[in-house]
Formats: sequence, C-alpha cells, structure tokens
Amino acid sequence: MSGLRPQPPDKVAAALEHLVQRFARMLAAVGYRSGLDDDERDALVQSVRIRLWQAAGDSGETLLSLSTSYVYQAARSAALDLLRTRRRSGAWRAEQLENVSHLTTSDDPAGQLDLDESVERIMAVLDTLAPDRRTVVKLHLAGYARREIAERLNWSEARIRNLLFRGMDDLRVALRRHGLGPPEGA
Amino acid sequence: MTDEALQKQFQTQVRRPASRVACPAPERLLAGAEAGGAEAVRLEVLDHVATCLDCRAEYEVARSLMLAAVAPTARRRWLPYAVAASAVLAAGLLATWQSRGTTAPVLRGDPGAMALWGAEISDSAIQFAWRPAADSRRYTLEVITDVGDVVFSTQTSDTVIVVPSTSLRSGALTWSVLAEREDGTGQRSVVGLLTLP
Repeated sequence: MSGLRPQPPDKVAAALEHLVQRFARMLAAVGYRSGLDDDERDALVQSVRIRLWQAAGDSGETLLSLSTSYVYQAARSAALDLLRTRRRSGAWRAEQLENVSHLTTSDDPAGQLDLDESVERIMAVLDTLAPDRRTVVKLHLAGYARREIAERLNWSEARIRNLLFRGMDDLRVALRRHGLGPPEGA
Repeated sequence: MTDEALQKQFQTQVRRPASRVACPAPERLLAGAEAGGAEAVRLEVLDHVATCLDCRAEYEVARSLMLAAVAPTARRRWLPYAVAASAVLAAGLLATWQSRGTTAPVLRGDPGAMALWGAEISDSAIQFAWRPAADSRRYTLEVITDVGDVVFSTQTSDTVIVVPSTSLRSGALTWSVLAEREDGTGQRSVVGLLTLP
C-alpha cells in the first residue's frame, strides 16, 4: 500500500510469531479432543507459519501491507492440506479396520441384535425429522452442548433450544409409533 | 425412552467409518466449518459430523484454525448491543461537552485499536462500518473472495461507507480496513466475514 513506512524486520517477525502462537493455542485446545497428535499439530503450526512468512515475503514490504485476508486464507489452506493428508492416511487405516473387523464379536448375540434393531429404528426416525431439527438433535445426542451447537451453526442459543425441544418431541412421538418407548400418557 | 438412553444408543453409531466414501470432501467440510458459509452446507456437514468421528476431528481442527484467523470482534454476539450502548454514551458525552462550550472529540477505549463494527446488507447495498483509528487520515476498505481475489477496494476518510450490491458478487467474502495515519504508518483491521445472497 502506498504511503506506508516499512517496519523493522524484527517487528514483523514478532507480529507474525504472535499470530502463529494464536493458532498454536487454538490447536492445543482442540487437538487432544479431535485426535490430533503432537506431530500433526506441530506440522500444522509450522505450515501456517510458512504460509504467513511467504505471504509477508511476497508482499515485499511490511506486515501492514500483508492483507489480513492472507491470514485467513493461510489458515484455510493449511486446514485444507491437513484434511487432504488425513484422508490419504485414512485410506491406509481403513484397510487395517477391514482386516480386523471380522474378529469383532459380541458376548450376547441376541441382546446385540435387539440393540442393533433399536438403534436402526432410531436412526431411521431421525432421518424423517426436518433438517434443522434433525441436525440439532443429532448433535445433542452425539454429546454437543447447546452452546457448542449454537456456535457451530452460527445461530442463537435460544433458537437451538427451541429446535432441540421440538426435535426431541418429534423424535419421541415417532419412536412411540415404532414401538420404542412408553405409550403416550403412560 | 429417556434422553440418556437415546444418547447411549445413538452414540453406538458414532464411529470411525471403515471407508470415507460417504464423507464430505475436504473442501465441503471446510465450507461447513466457516462461520460465514451457507447455512444449508453447515447443516449438511454437521449432520454428518454428528455420527462420523473422523470427520468430527477434521471439522474441529479446521474450525479452530479459521477461528484463530478471524479476530474476536467478528464473533462477538454482544457487539450490536455494545455499539448501541457506545453510541448512547458517546451522544451523552458529546452533549455534555457541547453544553460546556467545547466541541472536542470524544474518544473511548484504546484510540489506536482498529476494529470493525459490521456490514449490514440490504436489498441494494451493503453498509460497512468500523471504529475510527486515532490519527487516521484515510481508510482503505477491501472486500476479498474466498480464494483471495480483491473484488472491491476503495478509499474514504469516513468510517462508514455504502457499497452498491452490484459492485460485489454473491457468496462468501471477507472484508478488512486499512487505516492510514498522518505520519504515514498504517494499521490493518481484523477480517470480517460477509455472505451475500
């Protein structure tokens, strides 16, 4: 950008490192829960660092002339690379799963069959719910808190509460019709 | 069936898939994790994430990365209330100053901080607004696509600007403002997200 005074390199380095550390902190917060191991996390942070330095280098002047959209795009493209890499390694892991899947047995085949049928009906009933209610109910059943669902869908918590209440009600009514759960009024 | 029993039974279906064929493509998963992305995509991706452990891990990591890149101001739900409260407070203080026979400007908070107030979309235009940065002589607004192309750029000395919708394109966009100070230095704002229908 014209008219802007170049900053000393160490100032640029410090500012970029500050950004990188912000990424590292965010990744550390979700890393364990998401199954991201230390090596993957370090590689990801390094990938963001390299992208930011490249963007700063390409701009040729100052950190100020580095568009903040570059920061977003650096994070986005680093995330995309990670996802692609995990998919590639996932193909290898799937082979391992297939090799051992036939070894998995249940101690109580009859009980397992009942459970499987029950779960199958729950999943089938879930599919009949309205899309917004279905997604909120599924995330709730998967263990997400209302606030977490609201943040991920970018909706208000009040809207999530309403969708969850109505969605769970729809689910119970439909399950009763399928013979799961107590009859109405019981 | 109780909620707890439902949760337990549902969670037997939350697993690592043997094959990723049915999983959303990385690009799709990323689009679903973006706060400014299309609502239908977010719903579709999260519907899948609810039952797929591999996609959930990927989704959470991607989301965290992008959240780290977007400044806190873009995520603050209380911002509209804070803006309204600041406006009322500023009006009150200004009235007080004027009643004392002075027109000195009232600055609140860190005068050096550059922050975006928001982008308001109407049928025919988008109004961008940001907080004044101290000693700034002019501001450059940039609107950028998700692949980094600048689709709109303009300079102004004001902190509010109205851009016709026809100047921008539909879809997910980001915007930021560069404040240029009197001494020639500048300060870049954080990135705001914008989705145009």
